[in-house]
Amino acid sequence: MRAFSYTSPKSWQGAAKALRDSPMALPKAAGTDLLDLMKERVLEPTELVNVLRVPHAKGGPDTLPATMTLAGIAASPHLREHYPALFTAAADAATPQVRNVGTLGGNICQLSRCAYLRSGHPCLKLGDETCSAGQPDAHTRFHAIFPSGGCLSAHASNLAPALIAVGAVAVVVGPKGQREVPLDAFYAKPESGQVADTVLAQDELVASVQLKPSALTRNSVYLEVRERQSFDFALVSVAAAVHLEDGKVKAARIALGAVAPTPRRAKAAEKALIGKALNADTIRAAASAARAGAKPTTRNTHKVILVERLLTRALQRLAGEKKQ
Amino acid sequence: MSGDDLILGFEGQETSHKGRAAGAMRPWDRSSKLAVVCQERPRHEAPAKVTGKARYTSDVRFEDLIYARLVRSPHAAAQVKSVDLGAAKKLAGVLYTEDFTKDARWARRIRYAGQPVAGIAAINRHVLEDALALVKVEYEVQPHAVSVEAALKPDAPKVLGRGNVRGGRPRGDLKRVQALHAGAAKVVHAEYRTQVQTHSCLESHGSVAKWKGDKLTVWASTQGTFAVKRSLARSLRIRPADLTVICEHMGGGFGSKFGADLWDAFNARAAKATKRPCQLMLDRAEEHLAGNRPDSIQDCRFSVSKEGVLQGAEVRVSGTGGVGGGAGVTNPSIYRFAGTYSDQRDVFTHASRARAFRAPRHPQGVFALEGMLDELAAAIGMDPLELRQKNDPHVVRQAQWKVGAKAIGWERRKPDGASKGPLKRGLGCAAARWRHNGRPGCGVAVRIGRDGSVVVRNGSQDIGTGTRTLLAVLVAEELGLDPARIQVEIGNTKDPYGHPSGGSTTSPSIAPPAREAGYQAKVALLKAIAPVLGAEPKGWDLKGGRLTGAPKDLSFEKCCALMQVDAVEASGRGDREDFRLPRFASEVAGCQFAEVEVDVELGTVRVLKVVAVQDCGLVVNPLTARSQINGAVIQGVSYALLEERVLDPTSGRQVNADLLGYKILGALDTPEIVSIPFSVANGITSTGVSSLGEPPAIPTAAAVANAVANAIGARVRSLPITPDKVLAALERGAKKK
Repeated sequence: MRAFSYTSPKSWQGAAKALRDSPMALPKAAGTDLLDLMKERVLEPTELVNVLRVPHAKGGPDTLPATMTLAGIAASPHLREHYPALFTAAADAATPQVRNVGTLGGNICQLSRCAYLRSGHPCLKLGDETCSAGQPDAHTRFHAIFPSGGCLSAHASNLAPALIAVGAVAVVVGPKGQREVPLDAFYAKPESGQVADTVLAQDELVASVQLKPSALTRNSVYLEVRERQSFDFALVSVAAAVHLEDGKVKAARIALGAVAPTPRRAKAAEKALIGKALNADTIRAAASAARAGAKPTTRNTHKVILVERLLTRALQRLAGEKKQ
Repeated sequence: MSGDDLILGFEGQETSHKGRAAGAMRPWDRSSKLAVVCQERPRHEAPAKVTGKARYTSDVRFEDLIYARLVRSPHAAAQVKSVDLGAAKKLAGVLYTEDFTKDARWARRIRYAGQPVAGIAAINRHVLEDALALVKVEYEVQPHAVSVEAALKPDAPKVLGRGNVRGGRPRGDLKRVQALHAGAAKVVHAEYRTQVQTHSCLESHGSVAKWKGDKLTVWASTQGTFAVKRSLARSLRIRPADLTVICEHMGGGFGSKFGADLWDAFNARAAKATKRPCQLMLDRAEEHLAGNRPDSIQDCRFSVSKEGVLQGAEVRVSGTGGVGGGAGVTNPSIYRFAGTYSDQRDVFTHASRARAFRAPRHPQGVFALEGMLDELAAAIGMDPLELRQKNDPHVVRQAQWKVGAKAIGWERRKPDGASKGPLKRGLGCAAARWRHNGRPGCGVAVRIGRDGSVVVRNGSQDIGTGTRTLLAVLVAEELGLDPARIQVEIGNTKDPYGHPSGGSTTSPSIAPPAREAGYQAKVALLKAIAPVLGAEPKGWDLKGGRLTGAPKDLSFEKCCALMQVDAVEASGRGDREDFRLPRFASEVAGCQFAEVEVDVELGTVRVLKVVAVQDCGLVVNPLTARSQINGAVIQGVSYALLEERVLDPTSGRQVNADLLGYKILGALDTPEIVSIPFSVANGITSTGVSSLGEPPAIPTAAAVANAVANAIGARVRSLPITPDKVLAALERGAKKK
C-alpha cells in the first residue's frame, strides 16, 4: 500500500471539497474493499476522505444515510415491511462482519469485481487496450452476459438491483450543492480508463438514498444465486416489484444484478407484465423477455438460464404473496 | 488362547494373536482397561488459541525485526535478461538484496508465473513494497502452456526442455482386462476430471530467522521441524547443531510445509547479512504458489457381471503438477477387480509445482473410481452400496458400511432423480484406504519434579492432530494422573526427535515412545522413593493420582516430595520392536455417506449431511479424533463444490489468487458432520494408535458427487460441482431422454 493522507470532514459538502482539492483522493466509508484494493495496488489514492464522521442527514425512516450499515438495513422492521427486496438484499449479503461495517453508499459505489481487473491483468477500465475477459477461452463463468462498451465485468452490488426495483433516488452532494439521481440512472456505461461505474463526478458523493413506500415497493422481492453461501457474490440476482390491482399488474419494476457491467433494468420484462394478470403465461413471457438479447460467452451460458429461472421464481413469489 | 495373547479387532470381530504380550508394557488391546485414554479431552492449547496467546510464526516479534519479500516473475515462460536492483538498493530503509539469477542458470529460466527472481529485505513492510516496485527485470517472454490440453498439443512449448509428458510404466495386463470386458454383462466408459486445488493454509508459509554469532534460531510455520533443520542447514551450509527450529503452533500445512523453502534460506541469509532478525511470510497470492494438488483427466472403462462381481478396470490418467510431477491417482484401488490396467502420466505445464496434499493421489482417484462404481451399479440395476459390499475385501470396512448406512439412513435412498419438486435430495457413498503409517525413531522425554510437576517433551510439531493432548494423555495413563496437569513442550528441535507430519504418521509414531517414557518415568520415580519408604517397589503402581500397593498410601505429589533428587527423567525411544507386532488388518479402512439437496432449476448444491466412519486404531481422544475427521470432511466438501485454481490461458497467471475468487467452504455451507471414529485394536504397536489425518479426506468428494447424481438423475463427472455443470448435466440428461 502506498502512503496516503487521511481526512475526516464533518459534512458532506466538506467531503466533496476535500475530493475537489485533491484529484487523487478517494472517499472511504467502511473501507472493507478499498483497503484491499490499495494493498494490491489496484487503486493508489494519495488521500482518503473518510465519510463515517459526517453526521447522518435528517429525515424519516425512508431517508437512508449513505453510511447506514447493511446490518442496520437488515435490522429495520420499517424497511422490511415496506421494501422487502432491499431488506433481503442487505440481510443476505457477504458475512456478518462485513454487514456490520459495510455501508449502503459503499455497496452501491463498489468497484467492479472482475477478477481480471483485480489481478493485474490488462483491463479497459484501467486504461489498457484490451479486455482480458474478452480473450479467447478466458475464464468468464462469472462475467457479463450483457456486455457493454467492450467490458465483460458483472456488477456485483446486491443492493443496487433492489434499490432500482423500489424506485430509490440517490441524493448526491458536490462542492457546490446537491442533486438527485434515481438509482436507475446512477450507473454509467463503461468507458476506457474509467474505473468507477457510476455517474458521480470525482468530487461528488452519495449522502443518502431516498425511498418512497408504495403498494409496489411493499410487494417486492430479491433473489440471488451464488455458489457459496458464506461470503460470495451472486452469479445472477433479481429484484422485482409488482403493484397488483384488481388482478392486473398496474406497475412493475425489475432489475438484474451480476449480468452486465452495471445493474440492468429489465424494461422489456416489465412491459410484458403491465396491464396483464400475473400468471404462468405472463411470468413466462416476462422471464423470456429478461434474457432476450443476452450475449453470453462460451463459459457463462448458464447465467442466461439463471436469469430466466430466477425471475420466474421471483414473480411467482410476488403473485403468490398477493393471493394470501 | 493363553492369557498373554492379544485380543485384537473390533466389537463383534475379535481374534486372538500371539504377541509380545507379557510384561509391564503389555501392548494395549481390546482387553486393556484404560483410565484416561479414550476419554474426551479439550485440546491442551485451546485456551491459548482462543485467547490469542498462542504464538504463531508471524507473531514472533523483536524490536529490531526487519522484513523480507521476493520479487516474482509476472510471466509464465520467459528468459531473464537482466535484473536491476540498483534503484531498490538506493531506497532509504532497504538493507539487503539478492539477485537469484546471478549465478544460477536455472533461475534465469522462468517456468511459471510467480517464480522468484530476487529478494529484498527492508526495515519495514512499506519500504519493502516501495523497493519491490523499483526493481527492474528484463524478460524475454516466451510462449507458455498452463493446461494439460495446451501442453499436449504437438507444437506446445517445452516446459522442462525434455518434452511435456512423463509416462509411468503401465501396470496390469491390458489384454486380460479387455477379455474381461468382452465377457462382462455391462461395460461403462466415462471420463472423469478433477481440478487443481491449492493448499491455501490460513497461516501462509514463512519463517523468522535470528542469528547469535554462528548460531541460528528459526521460527518456521512447518509440519517438519527437524526436516526444516536438516534442509535449511544444508542450503545455508551450516552445521545442523548450530540451528534450532521452533514451531509452537501452526495454521495449516496439509503437505505443503515439509522443509525449508528457497525463501526461508533467503530470509536467513538476509538476517545474517544485516545482523538483524528477519521475517518473511508469503502473502495470500504467493501462498497459492506454495503447493497444490494436481488435476486429473481419468479415462475409465470398467466392467461388471450381472451378479455384481467387478470384472475389468482400465484407466488412463493425465494430470499436471505444474513444473513438478505427482499427478498420478489411486484408481483403480480399494475394491477387488478380476483384472486391472492403469496407464498414468504426468504432463508438465507452466504452473507452480505440486506438493503432497492431504492423501496425495487419493481423493481424485477415488472420485472417479466411486463414480464408476455407481455407474456400474446403475447399469446392472443394483443398489450401489450392495455392489460395494460384494466387492470390498476389507473386513473392517465391511462392518463400517453397515454403521455408516444406518447413520445416514440409506434405506431412504430413492432411485436416481426420483425425488419430487425443484429441490431434489440424494444419497451417495464412497470408501477410503490408507496404511498404518507409524514409524520407529521418535523420542519422548518425561521429567517428574520434586514439586510434583510433570513435563513431557518432543520436538515435533502439531499440524492439527492435537499432539500436546495426545502426549499428555498417554503419559498420564502410565502415571495414573489427570492429563490436564501435565505440561507438554513440543515444536523445538532441541527436544527429542519427531518425524515430519506426513502420511498421517505423527500420532502412531510418537504414541509408543510417549507411553514408554511415561512408564519408565514411573519406574524411576518409584525406585527413587523406595529407599525412603524402606521397601522394594514390587507391586507398587500409580493410579488415580495415588501410590498403590506400597506400605503407605500417598498422593502423587507426596511421592514426588519424597525424592532425594530434584527430578527424575526418563525417555521412550519407540524402538523397532514396538512396530513389529502382529497385525489385525494391514490397512486403515474408512467410508463416508453424503446427503445432498440440489436445486435443479438453479443448479446449486447443498450438502446436508456427511457421515464419516473411520478406523483410527486406538482412539486416544475421541474429541480431537472427531475434530480431525470434521476438518477432513470440510476440506472434502470444499474440494467437491468450490475450490479450483484458475490460470488464465493468455497471461498464464492465476486469476483467483485470493480467498474470494478461490472459494473455500464457509460456515453456512458446512453440512452436519457425523464423525464416527471406528476403534480397531490392530496390534500395530504397543499403543495401537494408527493413522487418521489423511484417510477421512479421501472419500468425501466422491460421496458428495454420487449423492448429487442420485438426486438429479444425471452425473457431473468433473470437480468442482458448480451450478453451470449441474445445469449442463441436467440438459444432457434431458436430451438423452
